Amino acid sequence: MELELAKLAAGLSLAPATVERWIRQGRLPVRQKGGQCIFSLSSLQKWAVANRMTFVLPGQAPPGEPGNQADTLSDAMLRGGIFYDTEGDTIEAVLHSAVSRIHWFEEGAQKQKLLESLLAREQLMSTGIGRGVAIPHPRQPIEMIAAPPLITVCFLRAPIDYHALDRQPVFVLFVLVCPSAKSHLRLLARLSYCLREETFVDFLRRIPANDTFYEKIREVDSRSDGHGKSWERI
Amino acid sequence: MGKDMKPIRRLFPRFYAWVMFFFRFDDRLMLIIFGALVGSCSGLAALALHHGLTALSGLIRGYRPFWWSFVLPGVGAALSALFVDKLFREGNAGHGVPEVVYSVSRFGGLMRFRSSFSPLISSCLTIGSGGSAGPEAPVVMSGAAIGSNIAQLFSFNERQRITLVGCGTAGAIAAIFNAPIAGLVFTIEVIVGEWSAMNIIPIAVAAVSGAQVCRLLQGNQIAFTRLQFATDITDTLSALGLAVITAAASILLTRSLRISHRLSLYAPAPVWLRAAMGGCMVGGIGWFLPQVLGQGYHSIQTVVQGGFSHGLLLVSLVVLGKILATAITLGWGGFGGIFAPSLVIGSFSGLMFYRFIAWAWPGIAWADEGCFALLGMAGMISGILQAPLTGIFLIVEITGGYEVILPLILVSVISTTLCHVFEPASYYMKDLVEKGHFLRPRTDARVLADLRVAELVETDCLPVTKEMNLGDFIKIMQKSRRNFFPVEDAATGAFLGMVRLDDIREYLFDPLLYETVFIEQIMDSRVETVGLEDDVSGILSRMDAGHLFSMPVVADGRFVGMISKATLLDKYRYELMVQTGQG
Repeated sequence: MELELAKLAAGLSLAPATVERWIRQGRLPVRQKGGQCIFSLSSLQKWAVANRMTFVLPGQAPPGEPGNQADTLSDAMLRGGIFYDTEGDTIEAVLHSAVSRIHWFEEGAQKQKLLESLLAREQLMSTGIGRGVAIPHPRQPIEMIAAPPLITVCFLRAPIDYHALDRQPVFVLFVLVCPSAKSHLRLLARLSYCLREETFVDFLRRIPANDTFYEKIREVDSRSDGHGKSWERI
Repeated sequence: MGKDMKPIRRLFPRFYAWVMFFFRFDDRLMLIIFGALVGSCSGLAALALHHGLTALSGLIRGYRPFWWSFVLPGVGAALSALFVDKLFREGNAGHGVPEVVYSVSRFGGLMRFRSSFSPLISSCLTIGSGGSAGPEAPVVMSGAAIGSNIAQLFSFNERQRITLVGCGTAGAIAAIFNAPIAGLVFTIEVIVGEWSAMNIIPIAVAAVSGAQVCRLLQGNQIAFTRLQFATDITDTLSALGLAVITAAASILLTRSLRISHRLSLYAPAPVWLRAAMGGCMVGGIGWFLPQVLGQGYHSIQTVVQGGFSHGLLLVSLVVLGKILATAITLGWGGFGGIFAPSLVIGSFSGLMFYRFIAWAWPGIAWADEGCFALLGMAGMISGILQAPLTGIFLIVEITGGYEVILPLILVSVISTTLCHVFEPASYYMKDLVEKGHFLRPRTDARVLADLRVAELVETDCLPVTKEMNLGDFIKIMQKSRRNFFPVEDAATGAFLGMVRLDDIREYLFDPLLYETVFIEQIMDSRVETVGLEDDVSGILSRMDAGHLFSMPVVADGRFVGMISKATLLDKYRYELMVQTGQG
């Protein structure tokens, strides 16, 4: 098959100058014709394995950790969903009903495990961050299911005492479940950025409808990207 | 280099595609076939030089008795130097073998087309007229150039080209001496420096075809016929003493070649005149000691057969005279190799040693004097080339003397070791080592020489300007993954200096300074930089000397990126794996 030199180099994660030199020196099973590299895919892959390198054709996803895609709040919330009138008057009860709504986890052992890890985190220190908002999340990334990062938003039927830092009753939960620590931190940072704003919390207090909520979150997402992508490098 | 001709790919695209179709999947068969072709061609080159030399020395022999015959080597050397200098512009005309090793080390075996015949003509003039030099190195150079040019003709890559250059040298040595194993071993040990199946098989085939061409056209004859020798333990032990003598002779020859070349530079004369002066001096020596003239195969034959009956004094004189004559011929601008002179010096050293022990211990039944001449040649070749295997196989093959193998191995390895103590690099390689051009495969030097700065540079640094204040800088810093920030001129983009996070860490957490401190005040404007064309091993030693972990790369006054030891290790590993993984 044929590929441009730059694409071949990117597929091998090498500098184009290195690939060009290796072709010239005959170290790579590739022939060069003008700017095009001609090779047989199987022999190049065999070569890569023999030299403990990887060759990925451009367009194919590199075998990396899941959740490498840009983690935006709106995507995570679309996956997690927004729920109203969540029942319960203790922390345990509201978390139980919140977990029961996350459809990425199977009924039974998986949901039980998630609930336990959320409660364990609450025991360590409350995730009620003030102004009536709580961000329950497991301490360790949940690896047992192949779920992408997700945030499930649960508005409570009645505010409850969540042992929050400012002692205010909590009326909304953002349940944050991520497969990796990296995406967890990234989403947490974005979320706390929003929740710092008084106007956003006021918006939440009005218990917005599904569509208005997503629209607002999308706006926040685009604003923070416009802010110089400071999220990307946390 | 290599611009003399168009590759076949462009001249006859269909023929090229047809040839390549056969070998697309594996180049081993291709290299074997081309190796045979190259080996035969360099065998023909060897034969051509041999016949040229025979004809020219036959012509000269008629004038030998005249008193003025001492100028003949001068005329020959001058013509040879003129030919090399003016007609072919070879530039740093050397003795063949170092040029080949240099081209293999530095240019992936790239050689000029004219190098495939010009060494033959110029060495024929030097040696045929009586200059003390050997025809082997010129034939090796010519064979290597033939291999290189055939590889270029078919647009082969560097690895394949180096193999064909090796095929050329193997064919040349195999043909000159009718010694295929010596051709193979010499090529691997001295020229290519890498024992891998990829190289050895085509080179062995080339050695066979070179020797075969020579046998077809000249008959299968051993270069130096001799008597049968019976060796005993006393001879094996005496090889130790002979090794010391040959090592001393090797070192003497190596040093006098260099000294003589340095002396010649003092002579205020053009190259051809210098060569002429050198040639006349050699002619003068030859007037008294005719054994020193020419390639000297005839003298070797006489000595090996025990026909040189003179005493210790004259033999020693011949050894010194030959060393002197060779040093002057080659040092003053004649063209030729040191292979044949080494064989002559070695055979006379062996004879000298025999005369000495026969005089000192007359009671012991020593082997024949021819046997010692043979051992002396092995010691001398091994010593001067610092290639013991070449010495052993060459002598066994050119004399058919397998029965002396025990003392032969001993004298070769000890002579090599002793020479290595006094001259860490052999005569061929010394210049290359000094200039850093001696790069053997699978060595640190090779890997570092292959890596270019452009391959190592990391370009993910965010630039700042010197007018920025600390607050602006911190915003940029949040986005960066690196601890280094190049400072560029806002208008021209010229590189002004670097800001290192390590240097400014203490100011970063003081918001009072955000508006009051400017980049100009915290940047390092006397930072050491490297260029894109710098040599990586040089950069590494600068890093080591300055305890630096990374350095900015600057080209044309502009910042290109950073080069760091961490990335270097990463790339070095890949390079090492790729370079050592073949074969």
